[in-house]
Amino acid sequence: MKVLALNGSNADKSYNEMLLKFIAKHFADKYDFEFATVKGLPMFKEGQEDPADVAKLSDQVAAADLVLIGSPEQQHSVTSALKSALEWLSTNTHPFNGKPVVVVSTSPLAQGAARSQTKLKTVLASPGLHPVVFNDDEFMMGGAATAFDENGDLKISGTVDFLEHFFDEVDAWYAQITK
Amino acid sequence: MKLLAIVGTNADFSFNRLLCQFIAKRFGDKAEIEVAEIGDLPAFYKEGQADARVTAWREKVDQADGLIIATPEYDHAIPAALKSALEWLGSHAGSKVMAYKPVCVVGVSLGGQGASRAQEDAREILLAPDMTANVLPGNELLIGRAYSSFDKESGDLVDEASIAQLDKVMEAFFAFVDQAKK
Repeated sequence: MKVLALNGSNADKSYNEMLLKFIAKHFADKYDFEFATVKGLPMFKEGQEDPADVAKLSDQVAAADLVLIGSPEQQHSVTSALKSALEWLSTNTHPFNGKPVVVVSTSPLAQGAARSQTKLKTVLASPGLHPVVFNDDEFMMGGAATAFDENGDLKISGTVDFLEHFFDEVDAWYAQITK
Repeated sequence: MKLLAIVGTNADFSFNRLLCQFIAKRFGDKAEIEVAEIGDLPAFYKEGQADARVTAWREKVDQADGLIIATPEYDHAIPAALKSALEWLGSHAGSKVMAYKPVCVVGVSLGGQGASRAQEDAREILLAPDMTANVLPGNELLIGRAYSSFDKESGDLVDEASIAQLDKVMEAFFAFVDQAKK
């Protein structure tokens, strides 16, 4: 399965990027990962053609079997950087149409960017995007600042166990929707 | 009373811009209302330094007694351009200009919703600790059917029910700002 891991942060230091990288490493035998980021994409503006970077991201989303979004929280919502990317991808092209999407997140505080996930799922439910969103267990990891060791691995085995359980559910869901 | 009427989009044409201009014109005798644009601001970047545009934006907001934010709806939420402009005002950027700032949220849409979900999104964002704005409760202005609600020639809001609701909302907001200034 080709998984596009899309980081929704444009920050230099991104815990969601660390999380996506750990997932890619841990599940390397199971999925074929490709990375993408919203960092550096221009701000969405109505009436414009897709800039080259946006067109590339659109192609990457279209080519993926599943898009895994790491969604940081800013002001109880998604980052403007991720929202802008989604606005581009719901205007001139619509690569998310029917696309399986899984959302994960992490944050320094205990909530793990839970509200960002809820907001993102509301945005993804709009007609211009229209993916098939995974809604079973939720992976929202708090304590991001101390969660990773120097190799970028998650330190707490219970978190890793839950992540494995989470992706088992993703596999079962994916099999069902692609039958 | 100094108010900013913020056009919540970077689009070249926007009914929300027309609404801001109409508000500035109609209530010019009650308050000093400046229409503010966000289209020239750079995209928010957490580790980024505020450039002259961001500094000017922060100062403008800081000096206003209250903000009126007119937002369109993109994908069930406020536009990224508006979200980014608000992020530049947050504490991540070392700025606290929004704390307890009176804010009134309004919106226009082409369809019947009146940007209802974007307005809800804006209110939630404004109440987050990073903003801590003083959001005017209730007093919703949801202007739908923009093509018939605004006059094609003058750009004025002409829908009578919408104007009546706008008057009510603005009267409440002027009192709200007065209260905050006490």
